[in-house]
Amino acid sequence: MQRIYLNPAAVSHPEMKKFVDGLQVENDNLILALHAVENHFGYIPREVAAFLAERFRIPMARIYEVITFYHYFRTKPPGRHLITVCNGTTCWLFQSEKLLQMAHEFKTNLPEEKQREVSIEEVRCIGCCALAPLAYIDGQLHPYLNAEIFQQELEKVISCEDKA
Amino acid sequence: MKIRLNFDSNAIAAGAAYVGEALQRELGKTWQIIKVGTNGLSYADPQIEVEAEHLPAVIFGKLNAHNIAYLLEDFFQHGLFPREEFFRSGGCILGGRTFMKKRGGAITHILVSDTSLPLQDKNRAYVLSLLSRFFSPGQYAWALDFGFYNRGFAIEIFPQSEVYAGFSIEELPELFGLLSQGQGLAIHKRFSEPLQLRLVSKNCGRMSAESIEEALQLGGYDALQTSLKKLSPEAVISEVEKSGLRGRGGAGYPTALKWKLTRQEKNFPKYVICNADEGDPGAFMDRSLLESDPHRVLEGLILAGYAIGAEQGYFYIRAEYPLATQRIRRAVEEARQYGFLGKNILGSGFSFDVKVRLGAGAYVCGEETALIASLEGKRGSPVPRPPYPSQRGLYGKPTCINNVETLATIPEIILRGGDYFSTIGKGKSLGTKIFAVSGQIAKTQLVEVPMGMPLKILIYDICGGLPAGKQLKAVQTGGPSGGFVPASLLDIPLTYEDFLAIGSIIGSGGLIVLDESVNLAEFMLFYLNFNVDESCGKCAPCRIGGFQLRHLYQELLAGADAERQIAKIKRIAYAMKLASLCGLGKAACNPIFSSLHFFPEDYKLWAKKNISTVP
Ligand SMILES: Cc1cc2nc3c(=O)[nH]c(=O)nc-3n(C[C@H](O)[C@H](O)[C@H](O)COP(=O)(O)O)c2cc1C
Ligand code: SF4
Ligand code: FES
Repeated sequence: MQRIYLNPAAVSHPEMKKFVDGLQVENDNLILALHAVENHFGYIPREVAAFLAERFRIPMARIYEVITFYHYFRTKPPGRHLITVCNGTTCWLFQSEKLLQMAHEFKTNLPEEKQREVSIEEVRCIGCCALAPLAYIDGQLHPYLNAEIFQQELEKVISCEDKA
Repeated sequence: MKIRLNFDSNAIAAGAAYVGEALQRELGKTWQIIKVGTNGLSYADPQIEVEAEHLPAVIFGKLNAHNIAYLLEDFFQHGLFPREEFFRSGGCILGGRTFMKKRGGAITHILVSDTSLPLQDKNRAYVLSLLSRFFSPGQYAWALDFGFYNRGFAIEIFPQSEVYAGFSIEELPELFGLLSQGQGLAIHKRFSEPLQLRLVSKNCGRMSAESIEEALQLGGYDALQTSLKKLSPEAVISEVEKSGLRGRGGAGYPTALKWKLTRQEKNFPKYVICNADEGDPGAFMDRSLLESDPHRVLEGLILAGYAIGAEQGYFYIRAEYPLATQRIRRAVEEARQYGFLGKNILGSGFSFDVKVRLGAGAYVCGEETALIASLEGKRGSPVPRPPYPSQRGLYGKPTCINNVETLATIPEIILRGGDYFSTIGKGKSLGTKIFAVSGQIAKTQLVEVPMGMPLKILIYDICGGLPAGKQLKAVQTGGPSGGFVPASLLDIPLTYEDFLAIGSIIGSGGLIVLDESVNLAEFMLFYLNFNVDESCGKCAPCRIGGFQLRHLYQELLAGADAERQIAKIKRIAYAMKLASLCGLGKAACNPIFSSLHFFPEDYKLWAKKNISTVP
């Protein structure tokens, strides 16, 4: 969760094909391949899925069946800013849903072109329940959140960038 | 001189990297700083444990950029417990958990704490001022936690590293007086036994999780070497059978039986899989084992392979656990270099290797048949059993799937003997079990205790009960497939049988403590959201039933007539329990029945006057 993804728009089709051809995948295991693709691009671009279908000689439908089944795989590129709130049971007890709601409100209050840059996701427990509630903002994990800290952290991320 | 720094996901998220850098910079020349996994005391991260001849062996917890300076100066430079500012800026000291050898000599330091519940520090100032009459500043300090509660005032003296408890506040002046005159031995009868029994997690937090050398020093791979030299696969199975070990992944199936059935099959090759999917939200036992003692889990997997006659093993680790994955990968590589994996292991003729696979965020993939499909690269849809994986599993071959903790227990059983293991526990629930206690609990942590221990002892006497001012309502066990233990039944022994009898399960070991402010109908809606999200959609009872139930709960919480809603909920839940294909759908209704049974009033609170149904 702490990767910097390629900008998919900047990746050409031949490059995608080259990436797929270069994948070393044991037993043509589709999930291993999809993990590699997601790690590289941040999501599974449709073009890459098509190249995978070609390479593994399976229908596109079977690839999408797998992609859509697993929460981990994205079919759209995540925004430049990724907010992932843990919504496991312990975090829920400590008001994670309020954090989620705050994240969405924060996003809606941004100027329109900024909104597209922010993605909000949920995860079901990352096993650090002692620090509940927690959330990742751009790969950085924030423990013991409350409304005030969360709001500050969200604002930090966006305002930093405005200055840059 | 060693400093052990917790460095698992939890500690890192809490800021352990910063602490590690500061320590390395200031003390790196003279101290060995070891990044361990977790000692289990997750609530106190970032924390360090000190091991040195001239200093008390204690844990300093909740370290941060402010308080670490006091620690460095007072403790590491001057050998004194840190000044009050250390505590005021969040720091704490934990006692009573040392691995140091006991030493004699005049008392140099003393830790004190009040272990009476409910937790409060109301006597802290008084006791510290009392101590100041007998000891000089920096010789004494207040401890946050000794690992036990409900035993009055407790002290630990150094360099002896001995803990005494059970003092009343009136006894303290005399006690401190005696101690300051070097007459500590007079109080020997007060020694308090540890409540935990750490067998499986005994090395967690003691060694680097990224060094096979350290694992070997603490007995890693001894069980494998013994088995390969002295025990036939049948003898390994028989040792496990004697131990009475049952699967720790939730279902509690006898491990030896599963191994026997898989061994029996004449179809080759066979596979063993370590189920490291840990999908139960709120549980972190498996993550902690994988991140703290990966070699133990790996050794268990190799032994399972040896026992059933498999040459290929797999780890299936959830994608949300990148650090666990990294440490297991490293452990596998190191084990290969040391000849514990590969062809003809240690000249025994037994060959075995391991691959690491990742999940992709699907709870249902913890279910055996779904896990197998996922390993094969497909979507994780369960299939009906039989045939069981022991007959037809991965790639259609006999496959044995075990949970992380189950496997981590195996080396201990081989080394100590199955008979020893079976003397611990109660009824058909033998050995020790690791629990992850979280929620409204004073000290969120991992606890390993003999099975059969009353839940109440675990919650109160080990974890310190609920935070000040909170009242216990129930303990949630077994996650979305489990149920609730109401406060009135808190004496229940932690066994598979006792939990079954009240309509719950121990599950994998996640215990979530709920206080009076939680409404269980609301809580159920949260679980139903989870189940609807996670249902694979293959069979109608679960796919549609879950959806319907969620809708009924939404109506209920919006004020619909409780009686009618409950009747409908029950009807659908029964159908779903009976007709669902896999454990996810079957068990999804357990917490519904459990909450309805124990907390019917929570369902009635929502009814709005004059509205019988919601449109
Ligand atoms: C929906 C569902 C999810 C499960 N999730 C897990 C899991 O995350 N980890 C686990 O070890 N077992 C899980 N199980 C239990 C496994 O299917 C299986 O019983 C267990 O891994 C067997 O190992 P054991 O006998 O060592 O416990 C799950 C079962 C179901 C039905
Ligand atoms: S019970 Fe639910 S998760 Fe299991 S097979 Fe049926 S739909 Fe899928
Ligand atoms: S519930 Fe959020 S980390 Fe476990």
